[in-house]
Amino acid sequence: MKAFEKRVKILSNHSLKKNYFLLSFKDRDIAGAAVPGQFLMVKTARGLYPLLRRPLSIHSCSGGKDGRIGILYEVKGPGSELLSFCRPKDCLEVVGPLGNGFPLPGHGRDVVLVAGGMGAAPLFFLAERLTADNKKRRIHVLIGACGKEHLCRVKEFSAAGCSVLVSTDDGSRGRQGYVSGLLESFLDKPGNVSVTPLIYACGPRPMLQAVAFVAAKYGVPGYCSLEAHMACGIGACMGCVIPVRDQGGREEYKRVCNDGPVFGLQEPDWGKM
Amino acid sequence: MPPAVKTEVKIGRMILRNPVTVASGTFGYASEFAGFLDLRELGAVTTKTITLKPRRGNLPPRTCETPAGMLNSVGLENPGIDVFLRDKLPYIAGYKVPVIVSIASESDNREFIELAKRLDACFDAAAIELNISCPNVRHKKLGTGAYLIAQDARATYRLVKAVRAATKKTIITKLSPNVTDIVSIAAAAEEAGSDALSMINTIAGMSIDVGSRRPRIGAVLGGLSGPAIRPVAVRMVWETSKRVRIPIIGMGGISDTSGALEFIMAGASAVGVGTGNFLQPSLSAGIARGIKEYMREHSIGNIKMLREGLKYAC
Repeated sequence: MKAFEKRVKILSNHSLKKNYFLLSFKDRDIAGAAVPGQFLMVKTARGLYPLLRRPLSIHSCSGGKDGRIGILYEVKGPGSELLSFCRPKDCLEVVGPLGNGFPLPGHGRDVVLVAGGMGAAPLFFLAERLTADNKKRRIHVLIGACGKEHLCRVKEFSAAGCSVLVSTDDGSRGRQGYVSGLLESFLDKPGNVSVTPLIYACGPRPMLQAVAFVAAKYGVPGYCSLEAHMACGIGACMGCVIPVRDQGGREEYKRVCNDGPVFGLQEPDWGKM
Repeated sequence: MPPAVKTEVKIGRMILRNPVTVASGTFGYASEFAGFLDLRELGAVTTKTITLKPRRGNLPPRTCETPAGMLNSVGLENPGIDVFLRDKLPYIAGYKVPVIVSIASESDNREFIELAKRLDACFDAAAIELNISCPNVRHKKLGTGAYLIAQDARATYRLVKAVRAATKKTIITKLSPNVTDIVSIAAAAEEAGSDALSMINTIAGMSIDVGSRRPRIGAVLGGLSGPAIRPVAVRMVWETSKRVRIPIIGMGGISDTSGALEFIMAGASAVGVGTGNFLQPSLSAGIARGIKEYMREHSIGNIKMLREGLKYAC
């Protein structure tokens, strides 16, 4: 895995809705090396506050000559706020691609992508790659958010050839309730998916815990991508650890940055997080 | 023709090709950074502190950001010396750069001595750094009331003396800023036979998330690092350098070349880049080049001249 420390030029950076922004830049090295599920450490300040880079997952990526990377982010603190002020042609310091990507499904195996809020960010890159590899599979996308104004990338997933189902906590769009409930009703209907599908989930930790619970109940394997506060992002500081259970049931700490951010759905010790 | 610039420095029995190393715990075991810089550009590599047995470390969250700094309470998570000697050290030594191995004890001085003996027999270890100042592990068996060896001059003297008897390797004692008088601790380490000092470790700190009313570090307290602490560290290096004769490796909030130069001008023979490695993985190598560039521009022939060149108002 090759990662780069780069200063790149921003191509675009605009608000999609509410506090949700989409930023893009061009870099052939990063775009050529990136796989779905990986992230970038992005410097947001010119000076010393905020001091640390922000880990942001790669939302879209076109390799080859184009070499374009997209980052979907929500403004919710001083770092992301500064990022939202960036204009096209501004420079951005990024390190990446970092972390381990999603293990990809075998030929013809259906997949279910489960996104909670900003969880759509890394899953869209995965959907891009899965639709491009032409391996005769159905890609189901379940997107949940607290209300319709927080739903992100629904149209884009559809346009990419995925079948999309939506849930909102307040019922303002799609099924009312959590996206884990939507997943349960989806898996409950026979014929929705072939044999045993693979789940790929990203979102807040309580949502991922609920998805892991539903997946275990239906015997469906899968992966989740976790978010964490990170200092280095490259496995050196041991700051972003989470408790996991290894195959012998022994508990240990693993780094979200370097051992993850993708973990098996049943790997994290959800009760202790 | 530009004047010749010599950046070599001597720390104990080690010759560093330039005065830049990294602070223990901020550079992992170097392999994490090998894709971002050429390790041979550093004067030495300092590895993350190891203990005799594997250590799990503290409860997350382990880091949080503070103004121009960060708190951490990792709690010395490490795979133990056996894994270190088998998997980590040979990799770094392959780069032909001196390796400073940071060690700590989970119990008493005997663990330090055992670790030092193991490393003494190991060709790839150039120096041993005694981490007696990590604020994130508590030592209860001291009997002095202090919870860090580096907070007690007598305990520091006893430990350094005991390790000195166990190894011929260069010994570097890492000091804590969480003391009333760091100079007296430094003097105790020197008297006991330490070849050099490394200062400062992090400053004990605390941060609270007022929204959730919880400490932002799982272990409640953490160690503050980053540019916020640099003036404190530079002051301590300056005070200490006037009292001790052994070389000092200065560290604390170095995030650029001028930050590193401050330490040398305050009396340090070498510097350690710490939290800066997180901000920019290639930073330490860039600072090594930057110091050389500065010396060339200002016609400063060697590090000693740089170290002794502080001008005071008169």
